[in-house]
Amino acid sequence: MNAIVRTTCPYCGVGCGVNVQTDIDPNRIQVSGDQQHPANFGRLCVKGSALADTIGTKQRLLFPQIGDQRVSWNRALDETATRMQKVIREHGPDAVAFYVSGQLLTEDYYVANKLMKGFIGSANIDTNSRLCMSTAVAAHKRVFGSDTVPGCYEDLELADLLVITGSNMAWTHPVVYQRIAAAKTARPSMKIVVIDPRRTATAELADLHLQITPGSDGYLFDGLLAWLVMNLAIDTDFILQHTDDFVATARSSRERSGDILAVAERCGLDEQTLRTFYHWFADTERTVTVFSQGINQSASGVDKAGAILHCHLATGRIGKPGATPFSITGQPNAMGGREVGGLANQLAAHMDIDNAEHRDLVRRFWQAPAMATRPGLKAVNLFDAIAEGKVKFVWIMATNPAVSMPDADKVREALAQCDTVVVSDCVADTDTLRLAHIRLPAAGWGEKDGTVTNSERRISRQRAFLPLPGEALPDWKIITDLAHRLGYAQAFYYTCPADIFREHAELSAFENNGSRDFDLSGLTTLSNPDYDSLVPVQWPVREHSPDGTSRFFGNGHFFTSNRRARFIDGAPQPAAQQCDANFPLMLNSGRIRDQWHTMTRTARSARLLQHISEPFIELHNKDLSALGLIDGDLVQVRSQHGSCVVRAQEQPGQTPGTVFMPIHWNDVFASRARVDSLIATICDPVSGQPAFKQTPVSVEKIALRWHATLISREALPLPDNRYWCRRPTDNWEIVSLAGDLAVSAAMLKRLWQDQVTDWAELEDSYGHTIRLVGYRHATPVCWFALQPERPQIDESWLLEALGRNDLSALQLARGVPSSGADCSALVCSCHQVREAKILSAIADGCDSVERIGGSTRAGTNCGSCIPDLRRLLTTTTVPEALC
Amino acid sequence: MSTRRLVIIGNGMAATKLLEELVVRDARRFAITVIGEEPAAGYNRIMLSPWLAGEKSRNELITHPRDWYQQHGISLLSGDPAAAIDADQRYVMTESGVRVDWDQLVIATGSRAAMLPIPGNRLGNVLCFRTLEDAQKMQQFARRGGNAVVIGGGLLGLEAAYGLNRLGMQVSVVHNGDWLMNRQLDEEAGTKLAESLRQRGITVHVATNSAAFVGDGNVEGLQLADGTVLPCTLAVIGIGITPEVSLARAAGLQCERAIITDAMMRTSVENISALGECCQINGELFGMIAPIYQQARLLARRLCSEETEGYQSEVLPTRLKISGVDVFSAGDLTSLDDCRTLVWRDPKLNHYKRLWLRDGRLVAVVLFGDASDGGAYFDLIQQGTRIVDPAALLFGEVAA
Repeated sequence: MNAIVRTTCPYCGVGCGVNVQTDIDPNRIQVSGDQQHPANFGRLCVKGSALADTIGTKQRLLFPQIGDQRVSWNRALDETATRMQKVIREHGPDAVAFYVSGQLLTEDYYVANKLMKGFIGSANIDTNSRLCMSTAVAAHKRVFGSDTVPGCYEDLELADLLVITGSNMAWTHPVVYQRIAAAKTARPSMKIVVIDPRRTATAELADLHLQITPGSDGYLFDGLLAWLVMNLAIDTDFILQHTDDFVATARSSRERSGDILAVAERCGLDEQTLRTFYHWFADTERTVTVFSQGINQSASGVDKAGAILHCHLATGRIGKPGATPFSITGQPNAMGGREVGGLANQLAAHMDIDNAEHRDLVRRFWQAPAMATRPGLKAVNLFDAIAEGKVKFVWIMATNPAVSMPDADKVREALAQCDTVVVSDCVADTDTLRLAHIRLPAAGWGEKDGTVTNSERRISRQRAFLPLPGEALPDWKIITDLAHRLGYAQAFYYTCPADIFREHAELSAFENNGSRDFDLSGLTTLSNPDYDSLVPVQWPVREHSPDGTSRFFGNGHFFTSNRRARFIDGAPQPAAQQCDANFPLMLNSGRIRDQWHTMTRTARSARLLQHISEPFIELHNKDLSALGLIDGDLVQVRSQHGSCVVRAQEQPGQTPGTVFMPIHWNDVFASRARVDSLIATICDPVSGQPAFKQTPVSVEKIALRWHATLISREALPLPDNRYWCRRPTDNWEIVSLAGDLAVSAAMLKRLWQDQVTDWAELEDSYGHTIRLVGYRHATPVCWFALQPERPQIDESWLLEALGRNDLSALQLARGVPSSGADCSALVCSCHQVREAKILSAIADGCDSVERIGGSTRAGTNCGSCIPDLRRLLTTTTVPEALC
Repeated sequence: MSTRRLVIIGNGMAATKLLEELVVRDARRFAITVIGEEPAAGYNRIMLSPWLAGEKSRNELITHPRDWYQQHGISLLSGDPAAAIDADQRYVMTESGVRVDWDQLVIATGSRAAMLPIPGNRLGNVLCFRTLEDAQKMQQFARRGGNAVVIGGGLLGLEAAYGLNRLGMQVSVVHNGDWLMNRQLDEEAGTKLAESLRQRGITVHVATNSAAFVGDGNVEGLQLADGTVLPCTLAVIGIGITPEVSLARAAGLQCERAIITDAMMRTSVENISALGECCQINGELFGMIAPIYQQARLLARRLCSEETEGYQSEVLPTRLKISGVDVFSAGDLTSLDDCRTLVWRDPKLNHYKRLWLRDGRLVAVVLFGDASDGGAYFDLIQQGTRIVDPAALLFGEVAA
């Protein structure tokens, strides 16, 4: 049995179509890009390409649990309902909360929101999109009157000037980036400006990289508006006909910005560079500004996003082909969450909780007995309320706040003392699951069925192609089963996701008549088969536009009460925190290319963990040497709130004084590498989105006596250490370790004696070096190396050799083959091409990405490593051929 | 001027090497006479053990047949040992009374198997393991089977034991050291060696002193210090060698444990040189082939009036020549207490390695089970190479 199932990737907000070639044997399931999906037209990034690695039942949460006891679903849901009802009875509905996720499907999201806001009677449902998109939402609503993304991906290709700000989309949204790269190759006159304090992989494509002072982007766009006005580069007609409050905003913008030199200084740029950018912006009608977390995750993010929208309003470049602002979302269904009202300050279907008419409309539609009347707690406040004991019951779905929330240690403590923590998740172990009283097994990608909305408002189906593992259930089913137990069976009677989708579409259409942007009136009567075969479509889908709508606002009609966009004056702010003598470095945080969020799924793919396998902090060479560090040293990173131990890594793309850490690592994968434990809970006052991007920190080398690598068939207890980082592969568990207390081979052999029957060992009387190869009845099951410096091993060779078991223990213990070891960095995850091979191809005359691909295959599958190849091409000097 | 007469007492490996070195230079410069005690022509004593074990043929043993001497105009008096040296009159008298005059005399009398000074050591079938004749006797005896006792768990003893075991005898090794080959191996390797010999059917007694050979005419058993008697029909003493210096001492040459020579192999008497196991340079005695060959080379040069450097002391590796039991040792294991040691143990393959490092340099190594890297380790010891990554070294990354 194999067939093609067309579904959607569960990672970033690009929302790529994925073709799954199914097979009875889950190991033979193959994924490829869907040629017909309008988000990706067949492309997939490295994470998407590795999706098949992440499925299967290993390390899955398969059965409901109360405490550590496996229980039936009935028992688990009865207990959940009882506890919830008791809290509501004793402390009111605001003492319970849901914390949900942009990973949920729209149907899951819809029922969760409906249950909380219409039936429990609280708006205490917030989502991890608070950490990611709430600023864009707030900015859109303030300026447009609705949370509307005006443009579409095609605009990014049509633009003559593409401004990318606060986004390393080469790594975070690789397929959109590749579409842009292809457009630029086809039309080299297209200009790309990247605004980022780091020189990222994205900047490889840029005609101009504005390496601004961290957090100064507000000044840049506010200054741009002033400059456009002063240089008469504005669309006066558009402003007059379609906007309010331009004059006042422009005046204060001009007054506070001063001349271009002053703006350049505030942004840490030279005047000429800034002037070039401003000129390009002024002179290019088809300009698109893409913004993401660099803008959103800021204490003044709503004003920053607003400043971007202002520049587009002032030039009339909004919702036109190739001319629009464009917020790109982080999560696969952040947009779907916004559509159902999954944020605590939203209601449903893009309606506002503060709006009495909206509340009434939704109440009537839902026939809701207990409508929430005021906004609920936003994420940071929600966990504060849990810490204070005000919220006594929380149900966390498909997200990992003990890792991803700012001041994450405090969040962990809050959950640890909360009366009831229910967590539904598809994996068996997360930092948050460890704190749960009740664990509910949820269906994962490939098992669940529903819709997601991508960054360009395109609704696509996620389709199931695998049976539900164990007793796992889709989230919508778990939520509605609970709703039944709470006494709301009538309102939560759904037999399938299509039932929910139709209701969701009906609500969007209910008394809409063009008054609200979010409108699926064209989809309210989808039959189940129609739903199953739904092709990707951009909302609004109305009766007169059944194939969807690419753009908004081209006609100048906004969703404010007077249908005019509003300029909202807001003075730019510097980063909320500044460095000082104790915390002299400014920490930025973000994603890496091959991991997703807290690694619960991407770490199931061994090849994805090979690209970057350990948590790190990137520093400029100057800072590295000032701190007495060399590349690879383990360092302690401290802020006012917490500390991490990660590897220092030289990164010429950092400016001196700034550092970068990835967001992914957590207590399941490393000893202490949760970057969010460093981050303050400073939020944008309007959106409530935390400022993840600028945190003053100190970096200090930690004294270590040894570094070690442990490879074992099953997870083993670790000796006392200062640092560990684990990495599961298909058959092995790989742990990097470092420590300062003496470790002996005898101690380790005792520690692991249950798993190992015979040891081959290296013993060093100085205790500097230990190597162990542990056998269980003649099969190698454990490999360990400890020495003063990090053990250099050829991992792929070693894992293969351990599996084959045809080499001597001594050959295995070496960790590298007798000849031809390649321990250099993995660049191309798809074809497993390492840097050394690429460098030698360059040395052999491969002078383009294409030629490298021809010679080594690197970059020829998903293309995510092409920016790295470009960097290697530019940084490698090839000896000139003799002419 | 008439041809100068060169007489060499001894026809062992030192003497034959010296002859070769002389022959390639100018054999006719001297009238050479070799006086050998053993009846055979030149043979490779090192190969006696494999020959005993049946792993080599007798032909492979003989290095210098009689025609070789003839071919090069060398007179060979074999089977007629030298009886006295007259240093003043410059002649050697053989046992049969032949007088051989010399202008230059070289003493290469080598050594004898050390005798075990316990009662009964003259009983029949108590043998040493030193010469071709000894080996031949053992081989003949072994065909009859029965129990043999080998006293001495060093190289010589173990090779004898292994040979007898291969020939079908029930062999017990009695060794007074705490473990086998205790001069060349550390305790762990010595213990492993004992285990692997036991697996081959050889009984091993370590830390055991022999008290007496018992028997009536022929040996019937070895009594140990604790009174136990190990019954045997053959006893082989392989406890080491004693330099053969009786002729030299009698002739008034300065001797200590052996004949004292300088680095040019000159003895205390003019025109008399000594080399090999019978000589002593700066207190050092010799039992291995490489330094003796070095001595032979430099002595030949000196005798031919070529310029030559003096003898350079060298540390030497030891290999146990028992097939299937690879044992290698290099470096002086007696003074390693201040060293860093690195050990590799592989119980699956029964391999063991130990390296000793001092000040970042390899000073000694013991290999058990796989000795293939022995030569490379030995070179590192010799060259005093600075070791950057000792673990890598243990893993055989020796060339780097």
